[in-house]
Amino acid sequence: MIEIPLQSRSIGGSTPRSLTQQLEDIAKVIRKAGLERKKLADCLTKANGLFNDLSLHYKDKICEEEFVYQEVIQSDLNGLTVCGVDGGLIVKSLLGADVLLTRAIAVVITYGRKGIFKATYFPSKLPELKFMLSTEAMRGGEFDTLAGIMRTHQELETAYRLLSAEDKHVDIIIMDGALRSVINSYQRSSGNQEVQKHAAALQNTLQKFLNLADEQDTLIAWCIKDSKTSEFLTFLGRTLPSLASNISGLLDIDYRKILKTSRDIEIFYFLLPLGYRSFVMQLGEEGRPLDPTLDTSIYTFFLRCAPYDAPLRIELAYPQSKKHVPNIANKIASVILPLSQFHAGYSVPAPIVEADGRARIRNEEFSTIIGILQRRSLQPGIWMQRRERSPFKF
Amino acid sequence: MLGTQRTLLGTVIATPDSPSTQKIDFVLSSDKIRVMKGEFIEIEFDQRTVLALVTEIQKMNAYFASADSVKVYEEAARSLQSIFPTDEWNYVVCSARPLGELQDQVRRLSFPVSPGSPVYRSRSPVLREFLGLKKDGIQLGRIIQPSLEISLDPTRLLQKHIAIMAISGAGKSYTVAVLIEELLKRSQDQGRLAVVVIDPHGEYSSFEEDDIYGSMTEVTRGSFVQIAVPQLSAYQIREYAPDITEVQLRALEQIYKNLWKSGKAFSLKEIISSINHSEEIKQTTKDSLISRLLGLERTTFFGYEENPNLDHLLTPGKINIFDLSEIISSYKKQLLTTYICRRLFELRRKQKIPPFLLIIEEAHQFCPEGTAICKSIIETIAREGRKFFAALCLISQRPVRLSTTALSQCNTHLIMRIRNPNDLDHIAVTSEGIDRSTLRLLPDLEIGEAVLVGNAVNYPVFFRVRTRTSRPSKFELSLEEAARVYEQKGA
Repeated sequence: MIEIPLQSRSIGGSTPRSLTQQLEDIAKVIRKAGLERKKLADCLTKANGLFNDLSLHYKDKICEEEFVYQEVIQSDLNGLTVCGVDGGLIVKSLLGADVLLTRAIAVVITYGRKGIFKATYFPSKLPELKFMLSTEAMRGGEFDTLAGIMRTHQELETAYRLLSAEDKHVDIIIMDGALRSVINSYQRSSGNQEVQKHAAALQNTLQKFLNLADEQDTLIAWCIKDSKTSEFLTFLGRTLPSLASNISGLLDIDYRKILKTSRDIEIFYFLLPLGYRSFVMQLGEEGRPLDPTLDTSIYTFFLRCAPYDAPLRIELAYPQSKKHVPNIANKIASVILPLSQFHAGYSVPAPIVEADGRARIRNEEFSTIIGILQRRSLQPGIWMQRRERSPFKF
Repeated sequence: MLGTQRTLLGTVIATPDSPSTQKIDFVLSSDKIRVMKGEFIEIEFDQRTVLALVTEIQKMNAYFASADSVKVYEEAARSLQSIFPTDEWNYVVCSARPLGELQDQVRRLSFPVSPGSPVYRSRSPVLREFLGLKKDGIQLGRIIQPSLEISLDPTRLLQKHIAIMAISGAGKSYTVAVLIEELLKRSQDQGRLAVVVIDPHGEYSSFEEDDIYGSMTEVTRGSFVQIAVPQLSAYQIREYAPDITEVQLRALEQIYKNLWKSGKAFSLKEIISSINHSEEIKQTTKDSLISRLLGLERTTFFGYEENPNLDHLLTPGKINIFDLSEIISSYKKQLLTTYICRRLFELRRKQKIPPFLLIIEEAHQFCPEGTAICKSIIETIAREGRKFFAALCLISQRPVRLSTTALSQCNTHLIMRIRNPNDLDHIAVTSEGIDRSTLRLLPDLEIGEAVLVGNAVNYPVFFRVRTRTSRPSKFELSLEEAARVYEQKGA
């Protein structure tokens, strides 16, 4: 946490500091942190090749790979069918009710020699909105949890129905968001009956979806755009001391503090070259899958797709022995990389960009529905919160 | 009429300023549907049909909305279309101007249509009635969408006069040739006008050589025109020589009286001689007056008798072209035009000649905003000709230089491509029924395209002039063709 004094003190009284001065102070702190992270990343670059022993020692946590990062060989997209799945959500707490609107869509793109050959949409180009209203007085956060579960469920349901319906084989489905978050959402659902009911349905759909994808030999990649994890750094914090003496320059910096105060994405931004992926880690406690009932483990790695953007974090689920996970990670990375590299400062796979655009729910759509409900319900009916219905346009 | 099948184009949308009684925006159902600017559409609303004109078309696509993003992607040497399914995001929004609604008759739109109303391509029978077109009228061309012949009521088109305005090369003379063809084709039962053309450059002389229209055409070269001095009055002489003072006019009047009394044939020579020998006229007056009359004499247009005899020249269903191309002097052209116009109008007032259409090319030279000797008679015909079935057709490429009085009396304007902003502003002021949105379309008209506004049609209509069937004018040759023809003639 950084606290910058708003006023500087001088002898005889306090002199206010200008905004520019204050911002410069903040910028200094950020620059310093960035430099330290870069130094650590430079040191870790030298650790590439030293991972072999670590991976044997921590085989429940990381896959057997000899590197911190390795180059990804891009796939030729010609002939591949890639699907991006995303959902839209608006949640509002009104006076009288809580409401949510969700929508999910799968965009299936078949690639040819010159790029996109065909694009189709499931269930349609503009899927129906799912509307839910709860007049039940839920505790703080419960409805938000429910909303998250419902959106995720709709995305999974869409992806599952697509796989069930699609005549043509889909090579890879890219889901927007973390698989771990999906699992957390139903594992940590509250005592509320409604929430629990939907959580159970979500878990069931997830299992069906993973099984069907496995049967059809369809890869699933869970793409996290703005990762906030620090699991990789936590792992490195535990394991680096044993390698420190072999990594030149590492002992000259306070690497423990840097690892403690940073996020994975901040270190990998400096560490990963363009077109490279990190080593693969298993999520959850060593040897224990996040959801034992799923009969699958969840792995994750970072992938650098654009020179001026942070790396993407990718999760994948794999039910079998860890031995094949690096190969699966390579396959997934080899497809996501060419789909995400077109904008130097914005690396998101193109099918997800399209699915996100289609799934978005506009405020106008929400306002129209609420407006109809308000006009047709008796007083007091449902009310927007006061902060959103000021009669004045400031 | 209203039962004819219609093609659905799209749906009316709500924007901050539409739908209103002045503007309708609609989105096309598919970006594969083609709508054209200037096209007529119908909107179904509240069991009524509203007719509108498409004034603008805008294509949208969210992927291309951010210019800097597009640039960044394109810099990666890949088009956005190969990365994202951009075609799926195309949509087209059209703006239209409501023209009126059809109930038992055409009425001004006093209440806007609703968002969500369906929009259709307009049907030809609906449009025909809406625009006030006539089935077997003057066929100048076609509206492009829907494909509908512009067939105009001759009375509405011509009786209250017409002005044709466009830049050089836009097709004015071609259009006039089409109009002439239509007038010459009419049968006696349909009602036929005589057509007179004041042709400063000889653009219409090719009618004389045409296989079909040649027999209906008579061309009089300007240099052969003779003005009968005995038929003139002193005032008319002054019209040709405006510098003649009141004192000189009185003197001339007296000379005229004496010569008429004598019963002998006379021309300017005799008038000048009489002035010379007069003892009543002061010498200074004589000198000045003679000097002006000598100026007229030098034109070689003044003689004892009129040629051609205008009393018997005009015939219904025939065209008389006064080819002034051999005359270089503007003054001389104006002089002849003054005489011809005044004589014809006088004869028409006395019903001694058939109703006629007088076509004046380069009208801004003969009836300018400034001074010209023929301006007065042309403005007179413009003001009074309607009552005597003397119709006027003024053709000009510089409407801002054309007499406002004359132009404002032309109740129908046929406007082709105009680019000069002064001309556009002038048209905005003088053309009834033309608004800013129609005005904006004028610079973009192609050669052969025109907008018709005013008395001839209920609403401004854009159309393409039909192909001319008569022999083309020598001016329609390209520069290379003209050079080839010249050398072949020489060989």
